[in-house]
Amino acid sequence: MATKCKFSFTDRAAYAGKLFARMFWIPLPQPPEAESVHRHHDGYTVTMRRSEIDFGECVIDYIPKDSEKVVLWKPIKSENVFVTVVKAASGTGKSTLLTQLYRAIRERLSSPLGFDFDPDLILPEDVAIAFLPQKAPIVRHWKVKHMIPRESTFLQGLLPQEEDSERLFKRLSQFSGGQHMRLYASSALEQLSTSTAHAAFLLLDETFDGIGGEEDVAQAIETIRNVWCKEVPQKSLHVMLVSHKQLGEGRLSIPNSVSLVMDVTSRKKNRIEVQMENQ
Amino acid sequence: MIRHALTVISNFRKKHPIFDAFVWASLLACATYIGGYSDYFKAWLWNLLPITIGGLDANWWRAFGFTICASLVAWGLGAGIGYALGVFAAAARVSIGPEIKMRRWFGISIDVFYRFLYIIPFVLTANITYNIAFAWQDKFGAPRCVSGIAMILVAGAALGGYRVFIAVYSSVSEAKFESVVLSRSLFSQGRRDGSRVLGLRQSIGLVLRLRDCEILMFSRSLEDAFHLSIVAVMIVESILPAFYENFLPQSGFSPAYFGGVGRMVINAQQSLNPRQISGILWLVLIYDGIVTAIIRAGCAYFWHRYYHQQQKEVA
Repeated sequence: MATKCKFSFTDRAAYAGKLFARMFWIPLPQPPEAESVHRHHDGYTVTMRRSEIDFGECVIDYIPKDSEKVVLWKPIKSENVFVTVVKAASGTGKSTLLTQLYRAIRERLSSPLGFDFDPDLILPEDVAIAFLPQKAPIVRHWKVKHMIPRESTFLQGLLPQEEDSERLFKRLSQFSGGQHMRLYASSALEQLSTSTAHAAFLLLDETFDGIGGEEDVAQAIETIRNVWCKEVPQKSLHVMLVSHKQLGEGRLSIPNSVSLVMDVTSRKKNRIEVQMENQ
Repeated sequence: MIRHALTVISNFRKKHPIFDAFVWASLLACATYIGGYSDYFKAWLWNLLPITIGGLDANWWRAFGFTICASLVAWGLGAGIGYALGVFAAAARVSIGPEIKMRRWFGISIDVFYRFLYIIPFVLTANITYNIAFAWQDKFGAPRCVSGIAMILVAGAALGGYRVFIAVYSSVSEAKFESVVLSRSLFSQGRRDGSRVLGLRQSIGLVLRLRDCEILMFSRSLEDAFHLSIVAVMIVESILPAFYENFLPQSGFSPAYFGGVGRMVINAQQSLNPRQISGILWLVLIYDGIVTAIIRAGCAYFWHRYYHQQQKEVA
């Protein structure tokens, strides 16, 4: 006996119409912005379970050291910027971790990494993510004004030594390597701050390593935190920062940050085991 | 083994110095013997030198003028069509997610169809296009120039246009992970949500950023498009007699140069005139080199110069 479908004909027609419109760039009326934005959260706890990435020729196995899970972002009351600093030697899979995290959040595809997200972060529209990879291309003929809006407070914070009127019309070729990264970070933060998502993730793969010493890196992170808290207080920002600056004797002094330490415990032919713990 | 053989020869020469004299004498004898038979080839070689440009008569220069205009128009149209199609097809591919399968399929289909047009022999494409244009002109009474314009359009779009198309399209379809991630992460006007599915304007913005990441490939494709547009125009001229008559109000008797360089070369081949063929080929090569240099200078002015400023300004 045939069961009655719970979707009516009109529901199906509306769904088909919406799908068709999406396929061919036909703009649909959007819900008012107030409904989708400004949902304030105290923060999300994002954790990572033991997981394994099989690249075919190489397998990286992430093993939590003491507990079942490793905390990636930990909510702190009255804060809306959460920083995680990843500390590890070369070849431990820091960039791989960030890439997989980007894919897991952005594409919502089945990632080999076992991330535990807050239930609120299920819909992709709720989450905005930006990733500045280690080998980000520097397109030297790009003009600053095409990357960053004129009134960007992030750019003023991260690149204060340049005059507003001058820098907007400059091209990337007229800046140094460290300034490129500051510009990219400002542009990514602008993108995150203008999104309607209520949680923003910024992944920085050795982005600030070229801007100076450890104090400079810490200061840049602190600037991001201050500007974000001032300009976008209704949204959470989660920053994951990979930096080799930690490997020296001094350590990055970023307050209220989680430090994720990765150690290679065994390296066989095609298998790398990495132990992870929060410090 | 070769080293051993060379050592043996070297030792032999040290022991017998007369061996060198014998080798040189043999070479001289061979050269003198062969030289007696080389007059015919020498005459041919004279026919292939650039000085043969001086032997071209006025008709060749008039035909060359037609070819210059047609190739420049074909290049402009082809590059424009290829670029527009490339941006559109690539924009259809930049969004991700299962809900836009149709759009991705659409972009891939444009690529497959255009690739097909590129790889089949251009003579076939030109013939089919001319038949369609002529039938349309005959049936609906369209102006005579329609078939001429259609042929120039095809000459530009089928070969050169595809190079521009594929440069834009592959900068998205084969983009490096870092380029995609960076282009998506940076600020762009109008993109306000974290959605995977992008609107048309945002998709095009992303395509242009990815094109910028591979700007050298794109500017090289503009040069390639020009090379190919000359080839295509000359093929069209050679398969359609008096091709430029299509732009005149009446058909009928017209001078030979109305066939363009392609038709003149065919005529010269039939009358066994290699000197003039060589001259016009040198002329076409020089013209190609000059225009390519101008295109390269334009690309350098717009894009490439910034790649070299880094060391000068920030050292």
